[in-house]
Amino acid sequence: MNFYKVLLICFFILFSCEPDDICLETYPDTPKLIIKFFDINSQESVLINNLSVEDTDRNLVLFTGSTDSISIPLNYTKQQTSLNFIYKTNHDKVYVNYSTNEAFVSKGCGFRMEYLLENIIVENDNENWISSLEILNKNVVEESNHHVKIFF
Amino acid sequence: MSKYFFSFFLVFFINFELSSQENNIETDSILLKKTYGIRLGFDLSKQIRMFTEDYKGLSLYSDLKIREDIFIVFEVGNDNKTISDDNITSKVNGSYYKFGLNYNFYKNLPGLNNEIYFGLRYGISKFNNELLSFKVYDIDNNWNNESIIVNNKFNNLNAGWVELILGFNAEISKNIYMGISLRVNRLINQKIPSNYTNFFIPGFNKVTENNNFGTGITYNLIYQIPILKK
Repeated sequence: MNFYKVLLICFFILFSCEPDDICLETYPDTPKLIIKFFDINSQESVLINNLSVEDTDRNLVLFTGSTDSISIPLNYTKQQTSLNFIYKTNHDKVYVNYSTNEAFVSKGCGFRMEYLLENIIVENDNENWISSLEILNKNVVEESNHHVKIFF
Repeated sequence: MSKYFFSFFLVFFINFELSSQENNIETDSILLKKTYGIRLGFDLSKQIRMFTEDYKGLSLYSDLKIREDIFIVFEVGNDNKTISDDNITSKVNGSYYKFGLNYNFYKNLPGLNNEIYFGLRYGISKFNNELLSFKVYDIDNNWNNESIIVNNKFNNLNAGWVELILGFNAEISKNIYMGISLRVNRLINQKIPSNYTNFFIPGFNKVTENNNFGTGITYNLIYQIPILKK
């Protein structure tokens, strides 16, 4: 009988334990588009001052100030994000076009989004401050390196 | 949380039951009939769950007494369940088959047919898993956490596992039994859909991450078809 009691207790302990699935912040989430700024003459990475970047759909200012690179959240509910890059007083409209792909992370976290860039269009207004734009990496999958170069 | 209270309550109950059998049973001069037969039943808890969950299913039970305390058991069932997590909504449907043995270690007083048993099962399931919608894992929550509807179907999935069971059956009326079984399951293999996962496997129940264990409770109503009387 004693043997059965021990077995019973072990059984109940096993039965009562059920771990929960949690999402640890160490799991990478949906990546942002990283754009680095370069000088058109030296072709080198440079600091840009008096920059402001807006998301025109959400009417939201993403960044104001000086930096050498910015990270932009891309809208995963559609295939395009419309941005306004303002240098000093010069507004340049930029459209980022892409396709989205969900990637399973874990039971606790669910899915994150990944983006495949199709093209980036700078609207020509005859006085663009952006000289050119180069897509270095079409796959926006993580944030370790910049994906796009803007030359000015 | 309620599992803990339920478990502790049962431990004390069994303690009491088992110690009451230490009395010597007098040998009787009357020969008692013991019935052998096939028993058929179903899991009532499934029908009850239909009222509280987005769930449809049926679970059938059958066993055959091959020795005084040993039964061969065969169970079959199907589950159709919609699972809504914080982030993911999915639907699982499929069937399962379980085969195994029950060993009754409760010594009945003469004439009674109650059971406290340990059981072992091997179970397999064939099922489909459909990802209905999900919310995107985005720490800054840039886009109002809208659900994205996909309805991706992952068909022809399967899994296999073993179960360790503790069960109680009481004969509530002639040839009619009612019982509860508590199960601890260990997954042996599962076919996992690519870029997705299984939250629930019919017969095995909830699947947790990085862990092959699962649990189950059944509430059985069983009828014995008497074949042999010794």
